[in-house]
Amino acid sequence: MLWLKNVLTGINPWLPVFAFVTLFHLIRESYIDATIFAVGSVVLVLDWKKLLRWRMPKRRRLKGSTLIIAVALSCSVLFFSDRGGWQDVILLLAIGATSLYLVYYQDRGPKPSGNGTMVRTKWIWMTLAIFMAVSELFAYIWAEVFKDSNTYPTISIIVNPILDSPYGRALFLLLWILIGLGLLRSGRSR
Amino acid sequence: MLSIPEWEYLGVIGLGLAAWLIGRLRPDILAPFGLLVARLMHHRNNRLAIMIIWWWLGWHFFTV
Repeated sequence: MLWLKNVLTGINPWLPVFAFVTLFHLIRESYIDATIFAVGSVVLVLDWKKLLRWRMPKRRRLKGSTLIIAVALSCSVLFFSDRGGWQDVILLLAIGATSLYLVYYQDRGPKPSGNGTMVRTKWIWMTLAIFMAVSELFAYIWAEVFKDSNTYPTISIIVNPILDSPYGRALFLLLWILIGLGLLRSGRSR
Repeated sequence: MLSIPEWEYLGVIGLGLAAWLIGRLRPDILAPFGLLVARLMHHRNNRLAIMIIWWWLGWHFFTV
C-alpha cells in the first residue's frame, strides 16, 4: 500500500468530489456537464502533480475600470442575447478561462486565522452545502424513479421558469457575477 | 403547497441566511462568512475548485 500512499500524497481534496460529479453526470447522460467536471478534474490533477511547467505567478491585480467594463459587457451579452445562444457560450468560455487564469497564483502570506469559531463555522457551512447537494440528488433520483418532477423538483426545474423571464435572469446574473467577483477579490486586503 | 425538496431547499437557504447574520452580528459564535471564504480562497486547491464550480453554475443556468 506504500505505492498508493505515494501516489495520493498531496492530492487535492476536491478531486474525489469532481470525479463523483463527473460520474453522476455521465450516468444521467448530461455529457456537457460531465465534460466540464472531467476537464476540471484534469486541471486539478495537473496542478496537484505539478505538470504545469510554467512559473507559478504572483497574484494578479485587476484595475477597477477593467473590471467594471468586463462586468458591464458580460451582463449585457448574457442579458440581451438568447438564453443558450452562441454569444452566451463564447462569453462563458472566456469568463471560465479568465477566472482560472486569475486564481492560478502562488499562495502567499499567512492563512487567515483558524480558531475554534472558524472550525465551527466551516462545519456548519459544509453541513448546509452537503445537505443541499443530497436533497438535490434525491429529488433527481425520485423524479426519475416516479417520473414526477413536480413532486420532486430539482433546483434547475424550479429556477428554469424564473430564468426564462428577463427580470429573473437579471437577478440571477447579478447574483452570479457578484459571487464571482467576491471570490476573485476575496482576501485581497489581508 | 410546497413539495418536500422545496421545503428542504428553503430550509437550507434560511439556515444559511441565519448563519450569515450570526457571523455578522456575533462573530464570537460564528465567524463572518467573508472570513471563511478568504480562508478557503487562500489555498490554490480550493481556489481552482471553487471557481470551476462557480463557473459551472453560470454555464448550467445560462446555456441550458
